[in-house]
Amino acid sequence: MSFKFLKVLTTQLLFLLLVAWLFWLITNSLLIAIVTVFAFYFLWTVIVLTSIRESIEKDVKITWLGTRGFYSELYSDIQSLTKNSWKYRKKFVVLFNEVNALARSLPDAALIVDDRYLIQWCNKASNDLLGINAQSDVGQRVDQLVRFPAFIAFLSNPDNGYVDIEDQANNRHLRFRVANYAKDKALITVRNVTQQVKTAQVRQDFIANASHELKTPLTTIKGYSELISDAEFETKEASQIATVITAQADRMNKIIEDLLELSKIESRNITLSNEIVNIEGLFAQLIEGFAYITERPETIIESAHKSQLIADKQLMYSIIENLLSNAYHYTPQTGQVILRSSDHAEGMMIEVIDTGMGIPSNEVTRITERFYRIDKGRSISTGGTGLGLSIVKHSLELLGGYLEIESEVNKGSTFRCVFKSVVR
Amino acid sequence: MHKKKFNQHISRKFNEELESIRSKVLNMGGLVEDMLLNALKALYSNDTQLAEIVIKKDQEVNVIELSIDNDCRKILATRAPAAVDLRLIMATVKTITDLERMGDEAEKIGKTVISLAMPDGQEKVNYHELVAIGGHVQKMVTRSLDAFARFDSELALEIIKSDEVVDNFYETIYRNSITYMIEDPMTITRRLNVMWIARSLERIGDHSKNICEYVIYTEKGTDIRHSEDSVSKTNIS
Repeated sequence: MSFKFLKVLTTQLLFLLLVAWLFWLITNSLLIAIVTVFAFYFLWTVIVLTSIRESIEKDVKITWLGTRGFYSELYSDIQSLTKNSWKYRKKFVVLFNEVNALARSLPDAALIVDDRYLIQWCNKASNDLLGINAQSDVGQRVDQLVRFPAFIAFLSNPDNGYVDIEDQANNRHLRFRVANYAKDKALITVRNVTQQVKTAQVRQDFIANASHELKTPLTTIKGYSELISDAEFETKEASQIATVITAQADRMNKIIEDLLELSKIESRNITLSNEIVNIEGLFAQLIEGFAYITERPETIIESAHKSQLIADKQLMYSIIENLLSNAYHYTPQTGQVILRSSDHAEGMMIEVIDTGMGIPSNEVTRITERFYRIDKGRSISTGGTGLGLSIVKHSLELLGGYLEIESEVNKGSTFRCVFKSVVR
Repeated sequence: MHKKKFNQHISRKFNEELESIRSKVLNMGGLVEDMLLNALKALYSNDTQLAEIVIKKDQEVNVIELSIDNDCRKILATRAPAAVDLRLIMATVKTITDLERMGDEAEKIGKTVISLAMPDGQEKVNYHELVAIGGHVQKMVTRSLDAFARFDSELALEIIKSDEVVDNFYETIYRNSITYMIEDPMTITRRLNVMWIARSLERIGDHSKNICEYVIYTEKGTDIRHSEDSVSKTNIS
């Protein structure tokens, strides 16, 4: 007890004794005087303590207590402590709200589980990704609610690593991580990695397809070269073999050229020339360019636009040339190819419509991937490099446009190029 | 009912035994869910390798069933459970039987996929009419296991009612198949396969419904089996 309190306490005691002495003089009874004074003092104490309690509870200040006296000093100290406690509580609430807001804004699901896998806490994303609700599912075992067999196996031996699981029901891939951060606590995070898995798949397919496309002509070249070195030929036969070798070398060359062009377009390492493109002139030039294909389907040109297009003419030529080339390859001679230009809400639209074999609906989204082919056996028979549509898609993006594909098997396809840089 | 009801015994060991049984049932459920999803995927994509994986998984399900059966027997013999604990054990014994049968149905679909597999280059058989019923049944299975995990009677009742949708899907497929078979006898083989797979899916839906009935029985103590009226009349709140 501090000296200050001792002083206050002694003063109060002396005051009470003085009052008791005065009362004794009046009543002539020491016992009555002491009992009365201390009874009043006890009553006063109860009133003051009750008021202090109410003041703390309701956060109301007691003004009638004054600034002097034992209880006044005590009240002042309690007030100062309460004030500090409120200050810390406010700080804690702000911090708690910030942590909660942070956890809510996390795109990944986060769950804290104990050593029996009972959920202690989880954020909002847990509901979106796993259907685990923070209000109702705390206290449940996580392996009872997330029942992927691979996750349950991983949970028993996480080794602080991760496992990717395909959530077939929702058509997505989830990455589960478990980090033990205390003796009996672990943090489980779940991330939607569907896009990454798809990208990795596309990359794998690209490597496999590129190797296949380059290996095919190489095998022919190698075979014929061995034939030449092993046997003696007449000039005519040698000439035929040389023709095959040249054709295959040309094919390899075309694949590599297309790959380099695609790489340039994708990296945007290309200088665009902005010029007004005469669409009708461009169509005529394109049709003339395909004059060498004698057995081709009927081609109809429809030009119904009112706007003028500002674009890189060379790139535009390449886009439509690739689409026309595909249309001629996959449409029988008795079919029809329509090359149409028209106005579009966003600018101008050029469509290449064919009545060819069409594309299955589940393949439409993948058809613009490099070397992607619907029928793996087509690559040699149709002679294309498998890069045309990829070049079209990326060239259009470079010009600020986009490609739309509509197709129905055995009925035909429509490739719609939307360009945005127009002068009305 | 909150799962804490099973954690309020004096014996901590008993709590753990009950919790372990529940976890095993749900792990078994997870395997069955996986089997069904893979069986449907194999069917839609004509993937015989995946179908073989589904068939092999059934063995795993059977082993877990035996293990849970054994655990339940031990609890009945040593703990003499009463009230909600007894209902939980009884519901568990019945649930695992249903789960095992669901696994068998998924295995049947897997076997059908293998028997129908087309050699490369031939046109693949497209079972698009089964996509809707397959998706609905798969959701029913997942939700019925969620209801079991949370002992959520409201969800269980909702699933029981949704079984009607599966029955309607099945009836539509059945009628369509009969019509197709009458019109073109060449389609009989394919239509019969469609009907068998639809039948398997419909049975899986029925088993999910059974699991939901056990959930309501465990939580409320009311047996609503074989009584359509009681389903609508049950005041689960």
